[in-house]
Amino acid sequence: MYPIIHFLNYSIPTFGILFLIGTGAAFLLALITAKKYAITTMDAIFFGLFGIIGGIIGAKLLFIVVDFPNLIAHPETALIRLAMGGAVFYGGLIGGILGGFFYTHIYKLHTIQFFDIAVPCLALAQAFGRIGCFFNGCCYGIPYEGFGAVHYPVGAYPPAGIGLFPAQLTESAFLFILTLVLLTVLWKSKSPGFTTGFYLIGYGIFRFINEFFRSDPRGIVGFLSTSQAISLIVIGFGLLFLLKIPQKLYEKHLKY
Amino acid sequence: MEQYNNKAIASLVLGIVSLVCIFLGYFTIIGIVCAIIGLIFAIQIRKAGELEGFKPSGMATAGLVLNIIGLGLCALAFIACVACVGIIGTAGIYS
Repeated sequence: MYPIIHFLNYSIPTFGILFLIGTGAAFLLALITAKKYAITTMDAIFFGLFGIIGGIIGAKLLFIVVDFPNLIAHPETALIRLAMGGAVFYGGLIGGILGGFFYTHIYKLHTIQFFDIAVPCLALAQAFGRIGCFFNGCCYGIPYEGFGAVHYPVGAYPPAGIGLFPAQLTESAFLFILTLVLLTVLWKSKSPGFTTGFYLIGYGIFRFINEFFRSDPRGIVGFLSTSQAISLIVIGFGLLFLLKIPQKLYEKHLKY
Repeated sequence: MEQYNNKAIASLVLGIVSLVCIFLGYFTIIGIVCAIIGLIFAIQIRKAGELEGFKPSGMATAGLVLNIIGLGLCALAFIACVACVGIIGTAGIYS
């Protein structure tokens, strides 16, 4: 486990490095996927950048909203808390989608086609991110002794001394395979939105199952974990995309 | 054209500021804000160049590149695994 890499006098979080590598790989892949709908390289990259910008702003804004009572109660530490970090995942997700949509909307481009070319890249970036989780020690699995069991050292974030299921690595491997499958689907599909739907359903189902093999503390909604509840919503959205409902709504109301 | 020149200069300056902010410790968020604004300026110029048919200046290109690098490096220390927790992933993994 290497949560932090020491380089010269600096401590660099491994997750951040893997995340950047993933983002870089995703942008490179976008150059290939953009050819499907004859989208220019510049548009594909700018769409991604707007998505990232939207994601950062959304994550931060929702953090401020969620954490507002605390920020008001302790104004002396509010600035540090804001600066130090704090990001809400849902805010990042919604912000990222809105950022990408905003770019395609102001420059009158076909949003659904852009989502289609973006999902294989997103899966690739996620795959690298999960390797980052493995190094970081978060998202660890249930106790398990068998093939591929991971033993974290003493002092690490996950429980040490027992074998753990490599939940991060199984998800990473799945996402690498999903990237290849999505590329094939993208190339063969004839209707915009199909690849997006395929990704949402494929990832949603896998994440739902993989959550049973994780034991790190995370939120609970009823008898499901938070991520499983989100997965169900994601699968629902994927089904809507396969039924072409968002595509029809987009053509009717939002397209120029 | 004049407004695009001004934006190109602004983008370049913001890119340089964001690169300097990498060394600000907790306050790399200032670099992220600068990089985002500079990036939006740079993208505006390049898209305007494409639509109105002029070649963006070298300064605008330099601004674009510096802002991307600045955003990436400032975010490097700022990113935590938000996706794995699902609810609130707080970053700030400085040690």
